[in-house]
Amino acid sequence: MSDANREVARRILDEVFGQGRMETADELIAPDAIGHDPSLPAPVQGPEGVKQAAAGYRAGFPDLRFTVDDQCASGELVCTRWTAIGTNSGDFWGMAPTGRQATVTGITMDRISGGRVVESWTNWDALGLLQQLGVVPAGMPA
Amino acid sequence: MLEFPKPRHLPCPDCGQSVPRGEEGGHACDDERRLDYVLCQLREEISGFDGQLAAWLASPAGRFAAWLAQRER
Repeated sequence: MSDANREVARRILDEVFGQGRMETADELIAPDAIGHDPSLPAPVQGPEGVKQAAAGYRAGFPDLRFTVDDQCASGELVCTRWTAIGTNSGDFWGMAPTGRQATVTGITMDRISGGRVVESWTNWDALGLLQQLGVVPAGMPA
Repeated sequence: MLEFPKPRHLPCPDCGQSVPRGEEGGHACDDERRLDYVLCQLREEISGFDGQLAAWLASPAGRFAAWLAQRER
């Protein structure tokens, strides 16, 4: 069960967010699922919410791809530590594309029931992303 | 005192590729990526070129230059 749940979590990152394969969201996200991500304006709801979030990130970073660095599972919960890399060649968060490539890390905890995600919590390095895009200073000046 | 956070990667200033901090010395720009990056930085200038050229050609100096070029063909 743990291995199957880990695979669900991995496929969502890799296929939905990393490849834009939105049909995977229909397959692996429960209709009433809730996703919590403080970088988004509101909780993500259901497969359509996940698709919109993924589409937004991929619009800003069309070559976005994810690497799963580590996973652990206990019961219904799966914790995934990941690294994402992409080139900012599209509009993102109201900003014109910078052309810069950025690497960020994050952690997602998924609660999985019946082979589908019913709730998730994601925290990722949004500050690091803004620093790499040149929007926020990358460290204090000497 | 805690330092202000620094990202572990920063984009190369020449090609935009994400490079781990401390490994900048070992980084070599890919020509195609560098070209894409430069074009991205110049996109407004590029998209405005046709309009600016048309405006100049319609100006007295532009019209004279066009007349001169035609005469010397």
